[in-house]
Amino acid sequence: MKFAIKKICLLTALLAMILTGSALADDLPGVQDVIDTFIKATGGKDAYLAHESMMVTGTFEMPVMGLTAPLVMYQAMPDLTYLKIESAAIGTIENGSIDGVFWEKSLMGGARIKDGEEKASAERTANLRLWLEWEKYYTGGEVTGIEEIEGRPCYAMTMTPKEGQPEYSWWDTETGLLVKNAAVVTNEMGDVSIDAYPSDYRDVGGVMVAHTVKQVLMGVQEMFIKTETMTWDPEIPEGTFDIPADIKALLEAK
Amino acid sequence: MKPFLRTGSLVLASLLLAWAVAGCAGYGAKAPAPLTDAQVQKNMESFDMVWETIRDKHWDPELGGLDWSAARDTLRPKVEAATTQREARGAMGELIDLLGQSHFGIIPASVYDDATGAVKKKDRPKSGAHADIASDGYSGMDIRLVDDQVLVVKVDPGSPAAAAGIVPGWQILKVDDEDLAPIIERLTSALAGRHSVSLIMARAIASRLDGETGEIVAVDLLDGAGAEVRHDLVLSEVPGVPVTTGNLPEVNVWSVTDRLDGDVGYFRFNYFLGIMEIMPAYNAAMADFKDATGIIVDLRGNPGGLGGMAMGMSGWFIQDKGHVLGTMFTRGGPLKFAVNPRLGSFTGPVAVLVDELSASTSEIMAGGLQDLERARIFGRTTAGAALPSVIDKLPNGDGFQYAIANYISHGGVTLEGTGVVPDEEIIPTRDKLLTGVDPAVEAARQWILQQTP
Repeated sequence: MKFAIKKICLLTALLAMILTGSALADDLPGVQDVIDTFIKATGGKDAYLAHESMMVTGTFEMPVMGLTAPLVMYQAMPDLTYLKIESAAIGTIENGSIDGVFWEKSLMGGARIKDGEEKASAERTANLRLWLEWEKYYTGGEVTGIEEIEGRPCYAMTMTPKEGQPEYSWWDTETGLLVKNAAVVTNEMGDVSIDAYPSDYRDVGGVMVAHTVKQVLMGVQEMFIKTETMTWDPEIPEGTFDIPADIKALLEAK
Repeated sequence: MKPFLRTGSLVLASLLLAWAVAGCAGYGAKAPAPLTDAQVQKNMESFDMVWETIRDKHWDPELGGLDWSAARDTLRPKVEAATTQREARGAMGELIDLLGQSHFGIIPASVYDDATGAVKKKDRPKSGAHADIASDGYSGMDIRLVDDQVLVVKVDPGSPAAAAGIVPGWQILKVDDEDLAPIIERLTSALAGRHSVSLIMARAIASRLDGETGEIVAVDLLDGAGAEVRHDLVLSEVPGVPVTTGNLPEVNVWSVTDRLDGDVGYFRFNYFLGIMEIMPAYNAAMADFKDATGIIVDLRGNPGGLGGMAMGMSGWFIQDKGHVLGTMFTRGGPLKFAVNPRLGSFTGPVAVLVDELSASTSEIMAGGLQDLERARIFGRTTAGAALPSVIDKLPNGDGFQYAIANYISHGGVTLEGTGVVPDEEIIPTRDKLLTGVDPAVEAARQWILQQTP
């Protein structure tokens, strides 16, 4: 008797899955639809186009190490970036980009220039208007289903970068907001997986911006980037995006 | 930022390892005593913690194909039925032994306390005038266990030991009237079959010389002439700059830069920590040694720290990209310890000094440079504690040591448990030390001079 009930339950479940799957396949939005919804939910295309640069101050945190370090970041169109984290425990870490040169330097590891997949990944995130111009960086994408992320139903999307491994993202079906991104970046250390969970979206100058990003490294280690202040189109100190001398030396040595 | 994020796990692991191993040692079991209901409960909780920790944190989620649930079902009742602490511990040990891997172990609470010197410190007479001083003190002696002899291998200038006239080669017989020979005997027996025995024993002995600044430690020694002498050393402040790294305890870091005869550069530092202090000193030294005959990096006694520092430091000896010191296998996948070459890196001969107290990041750097055939290693086999491991305290008070990642050197060697085997073994015997020359430094210096046309 028990076996019979189990069998019926199993068949019912399978039938439900088939029916649900069929319905989902028909109802799923396209990649552009999901991205359009996100842009609209976060302020609209015009709001994004109204800004050319931004500055963020905040903290970088690794709770398991008891580490909190202040960070400052500048970003400007088309691909200018500069980020600095300073801490007595880990030293100073800087990275930046200008004119297609993506670099990094730290007291611990020295200076280096990014290339390959790592550079391509950095190029994507250097664009303030990534989601308006995503087709510049990706050959295509697909919405593959609806999955639950942290208790919320989300559209699951797979996107294929022009250079690099496929990226996976999840977008809240109700709010339209991006709630998770999963990527693997290959560099000298190997294939490094980073899952990012943007949250705490707040309105800054007409654009909703995630103020907390939890990152999970290699599936085991959590760290957080928390925004304290964000300013659109700030006065950026002269020379902020200049290539540091040791990076210039590396470029010349190349 | 991303590379730092990636090295975060290495950082954590290496740091934890440094302290975990430093604090771990043990010996002799006390007479079995019947357990109370509360102790049984604590043992059950401890078993569960061990089982769950390995399930959740071991780098291989499949645990090599072990039926971990079945193991729990078999062994948990044994812990529950245990009538002595030893039996309960034995059942937990059986669980761990199923892994067939090193760097996992249960450390009895009594041994843990003894090994860290906690009991000894507590019993040591305090100087009334300095009883309220909280900072740690030191004697200025660096000691090693050589053929069951506790030998002074280094005396810091200006230290209490130097002021007392103690020199390398003297043998320590007693500390605060406690004879060291039986301690060594007990440790040797209790640690048989464990990993990092030399490191644990050396730490256990060295901890007896620790204390608060101003505290008096009575040391009985055999001097260079073979006579027994006694010195009351008033501990002075630990040298170096105090640094804190996240949740880790504050430590004092220091470095020594020198130019030896023959224009050989020499750099020594005590932790892979204190980036703001150590890295600038190291970078300046390497830049200064650019035209030196050769360079000696002294990692003896260095317990490790931030893994990322090994990659950055090694970059001074590597010219091309694409070289790795080794690979760390976490549950989330492998991470390579990639060397970032520095502009103007040194191309001459490099010697790295190690000993049984060189652990963790020290082993990663020394082993990696050895595998890359970029450095010749002098000294004694390292601790074999290159795995990122930690020691947690269990609810029953025992220590639980476990690795959270595997580490394979560039040459395919699992350093954990075996350590870095030097190309030239240099044993700091009493006779050699009494000549007033550091035998490892001298061997490295001579080798460098031989490489130069």
